[in-house]
Amino acid sequence: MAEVDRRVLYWVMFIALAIPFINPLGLPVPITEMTKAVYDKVESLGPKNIALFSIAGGVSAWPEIAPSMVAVMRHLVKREVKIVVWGFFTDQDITVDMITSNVPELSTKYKYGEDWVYMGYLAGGETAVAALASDVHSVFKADKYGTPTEKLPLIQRVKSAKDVDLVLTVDTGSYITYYIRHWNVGKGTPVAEIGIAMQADQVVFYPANLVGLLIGVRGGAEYEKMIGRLGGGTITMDAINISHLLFIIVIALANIGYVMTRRKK
Amino acid sequence: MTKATYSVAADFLAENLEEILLITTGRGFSFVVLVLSFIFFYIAIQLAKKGKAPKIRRMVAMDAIDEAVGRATEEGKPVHYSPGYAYMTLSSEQGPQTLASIGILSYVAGLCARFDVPIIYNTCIADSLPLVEETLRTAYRNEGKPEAFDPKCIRYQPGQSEYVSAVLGTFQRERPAVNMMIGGLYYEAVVIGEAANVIGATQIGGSANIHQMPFIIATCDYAMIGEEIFAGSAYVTKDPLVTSGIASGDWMKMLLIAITVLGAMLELSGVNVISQLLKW
Amino acid sequence: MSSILRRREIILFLTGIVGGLMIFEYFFAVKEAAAVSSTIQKWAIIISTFALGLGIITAFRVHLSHVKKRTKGQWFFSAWLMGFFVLLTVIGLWNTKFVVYDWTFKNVYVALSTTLYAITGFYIFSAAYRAFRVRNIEAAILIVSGALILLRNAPIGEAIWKGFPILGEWVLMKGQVGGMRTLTFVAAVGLVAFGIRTLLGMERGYYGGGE
Repeated sequence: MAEVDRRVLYWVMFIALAIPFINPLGLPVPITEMTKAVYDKVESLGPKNIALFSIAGGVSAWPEIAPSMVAVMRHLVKREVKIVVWGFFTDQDITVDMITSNVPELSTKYKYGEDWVYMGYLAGGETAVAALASDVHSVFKADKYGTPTEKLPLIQRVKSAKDVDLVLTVDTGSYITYYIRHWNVGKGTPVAEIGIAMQADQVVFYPANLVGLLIGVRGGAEYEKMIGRLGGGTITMDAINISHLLFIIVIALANIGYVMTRRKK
Repeated sequence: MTKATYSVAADFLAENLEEILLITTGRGFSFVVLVLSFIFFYIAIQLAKKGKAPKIRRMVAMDAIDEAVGRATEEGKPVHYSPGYAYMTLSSEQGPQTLASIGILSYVAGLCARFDVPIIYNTCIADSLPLVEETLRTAYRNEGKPEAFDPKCIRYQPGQSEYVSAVLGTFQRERPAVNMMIGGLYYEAVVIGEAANVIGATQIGGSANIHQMPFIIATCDYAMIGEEIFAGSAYVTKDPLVTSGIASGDWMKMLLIAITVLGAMLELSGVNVISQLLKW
Repeated sequence: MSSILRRREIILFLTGIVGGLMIFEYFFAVKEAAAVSSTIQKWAIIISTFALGLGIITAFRVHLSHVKKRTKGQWFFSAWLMGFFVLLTVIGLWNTKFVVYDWTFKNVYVALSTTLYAITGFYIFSAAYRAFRVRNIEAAILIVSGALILLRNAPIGEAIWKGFPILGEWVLMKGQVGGMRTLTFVAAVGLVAFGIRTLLGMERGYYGGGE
């Protein structure tokens, strides 16, 4: 038990994760306060408000963040909030395509340029986020499709961080801290995060600065439940349950084997 | 002075600091910390010049670099070095970690040049490429072997997943004896670390990204935690003037810890001078 | 000319001036400094974007040499990579909505990227199996805390026992906070010391000026 070949472990994990996709367990997903806080904030917005959807996560993180992104976007569209989208990852166009295909209201109900706009990719990390907080128009001269900002009524309303009512940053790393430093602390803009599971501790670092946090797949599943449209997050939660339980069982078995081996010696 | 007087004075300063000293509201205390850091640094340098350089403890991971390169020499295999994902740019809070990593690379490259050990550098941080090339070139030149430097040892991949798969491929094909991953590591820490364990490489890892600490410690033989990567390149110079700068950082930490403890005690007794100070 | 530009005095001078200016702008509410800082930040964005092109050239240099030398076990991968790069560049410049281009990105690139990210789970599994042994009391606390967090995150924890999420929440929100804040705090102070050494020119390793 103490020294099992890693390939055996990988197969055990793979089979255990595959089972719930074939035969779902359907366990209930309790709502956490952090997710509820984000939901309540979006629920408080309306057609006169502008939300910034910042994509700072690559397609590789879709398994964790895609359900949350789609669920939050559906909620924003349901509340008729104006949406500005931009990002810092070179593959974000694929992410935007994924969101627009899962939220068709962005094409059918919303008018591009007036209700939502996609500004494209920006290199530069924290420098870019800081520059945008002060003056969006000095950084973006046109949207992703080359339309000058003068012809986009929505982006004309967004000159700096003060014109945005909520920042939703899709994050796999540190962009949330950039937005907190330059947008929240600097300009007072509320900031919420859609993040991977590894970022659960951000909320304890910034309890006063962060509206809320959707953590990984669970955050997506909770948000789907709150908006009443179940999707990929809910389906994946069964796999999360199995994998977490398996992890604990295997570590326990390994330690039992380790203790027994030490006793023999 | 009474509690009320302290509060009034603190409030007045907080509201008027920007007009009095032009310091942006909310950044006054940070400015004081920065000025004190410079003062401590100056004091440490002066002590070092007088031959009383503050002593700093051994850094086991940095000391292990010599041993690791020695192992690579014996086995006739390359050394692999990577700075992590670090958001693929120097213009982020991860940038200093990349610079610190390149500083340590300078030392590692010098050893590799000295013992004729090939070095492989995989990165996805485009704007660090000129720095890395210059660092490696200088290291080889300083060892008297400028012709031995091959710029093609620096391998760039334009993305995190691409970088991870390139490193995994490097491990399988070239089987380095040593893997060093120091810098702004993200999820690649556990992937690269575990892949290096599969091929039996000696590993030295380090990052200031707290969320990767468990994975670095679990996968690496030697780990540098948090600020140790910033002290690493100064540590290897063995120059008292430079290492005294590390000690000045420790003095600053002690002062801030004292302020924290004092503030907590005062706060519990209803005096919020320290917490008001922090909001300047 | 390039040897003059690479002189360490120029590098140190530029580092000190720009670093000092950014620090000044951060702390002092001076409009002129903010304007200069904003311009420098835009330059940094432009340099980052240029660096992507430099990276592509570096990558090509490496792979072209593998193809020329017919490096065993490598050259065909390099040839494939360069050919694919040229093909996608041509198609991308012509029409990014072209069905093959679009399909390749959505069904090949996305699948490969998510696979590599998913590998993390397996590797964490094997790393934890190998490393998380109860060798001493601290290791035992670590493993128990980790298990509580896992059972807090997964709804199955609450299904097994209602106390798991409560204990896990305590560990997340209270138990580990002191340690995490300490690590962040000391890393930040170490970073300040590193920054001071860099600004004053005492930290030279990063541009090869060590000797």
